[in-house]
Amino acid sequence: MNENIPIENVVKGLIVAEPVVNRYGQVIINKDTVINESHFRVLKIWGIKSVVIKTLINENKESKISSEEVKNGTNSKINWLPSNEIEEELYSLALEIINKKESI
Amino acid sequence: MKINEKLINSINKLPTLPTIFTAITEAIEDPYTTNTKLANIILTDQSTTLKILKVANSPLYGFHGKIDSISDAILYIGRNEVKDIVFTLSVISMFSKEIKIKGFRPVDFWAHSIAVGVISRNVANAIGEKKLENYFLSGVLHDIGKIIFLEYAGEDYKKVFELVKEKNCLIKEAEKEILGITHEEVGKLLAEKWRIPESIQDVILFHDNCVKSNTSNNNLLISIVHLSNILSHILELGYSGYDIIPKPNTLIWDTLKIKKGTLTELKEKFINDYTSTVKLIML
Repeated sequence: MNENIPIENVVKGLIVAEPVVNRYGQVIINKDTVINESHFRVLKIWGIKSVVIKTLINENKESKISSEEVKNGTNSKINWLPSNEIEEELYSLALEIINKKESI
Repeated sequence: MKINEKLINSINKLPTLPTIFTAITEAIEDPYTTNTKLANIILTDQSTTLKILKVANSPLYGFHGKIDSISDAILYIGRNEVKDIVFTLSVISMFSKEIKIKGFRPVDFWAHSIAVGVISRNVANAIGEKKLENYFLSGVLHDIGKIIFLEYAGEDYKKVFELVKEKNCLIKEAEKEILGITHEEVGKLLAEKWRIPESIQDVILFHDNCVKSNTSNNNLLISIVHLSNILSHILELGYSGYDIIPKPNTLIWDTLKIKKGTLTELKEKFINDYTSTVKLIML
């Protein structure tokens, strides 16, 4: 089962059930990602109001891989936060490339 | 002798630039040199002639195959742009031998440098800069110090890469820690030896942090190369020795006044121009 929960209730360890997209429709957090500390920043930057999460949490192999991918992907490549619209655009371009690579 | 002293000594021993480049530079500096005379100097070097024609006809300059002689190239893209192309070709041919450092090949380094050159020229054009000379060359040369490290610091430079991987830090931080000198500082020394224009020397020294500029023109050039370096990392064009996407210095936005959406619109052009230019220059 999935549940759409407001951002203030999102905590570490929850599994994302549907991809989280930004205002440009780009995926900023993939489906099956296990939420960790760094995702809170990403969600805040893009002003995401709610996230669809899996309510039946299983420590399955798939979710562990997703978590590892996120850990080694976006967060290790971009360790800064956009401070204006153009930097948001750069951030968005970077996410697009990273997500494209992950989907291959 | 300390590592950084050894490196500085190696720069002093570096060969000068190829004869064709020196001859072209002298001819351009002479106000009495006609375009025909300049074309004849270039024509003495067949491989350079062919590559100038290919690059001049590439999407980067927008003439799409209309330039079929060196005289036309000089006329349409200008003497200084022709000189910059020859400079680029000369420097790449001087430092293109295969050096075995795991995870960093000169070919990838030059691909990154060309990417920064291509993006710099496009960004300058997009923000309405009329004088586009120097943007491509500045981009190509911005990291020239790294190739000196590759050639002359061998095993020590390998340690730099290991540290970058271990700490996930910027390459210049690891260079400072292990070699005691950064690629920007070494690049600046080489640029002085080769008497590269001061505006490009500033790009080599300040492209990473944009902390200094003497004139507003220099400021623009440094800011554009700074941004283009970040864009080449984002678009993964070539490889400059580290994976992190550097944070832009917020000071550049006041200088560039770039409109929202411009970079996204130009993304495909950056990639297409990079692909065609890298093929023409490297293959």
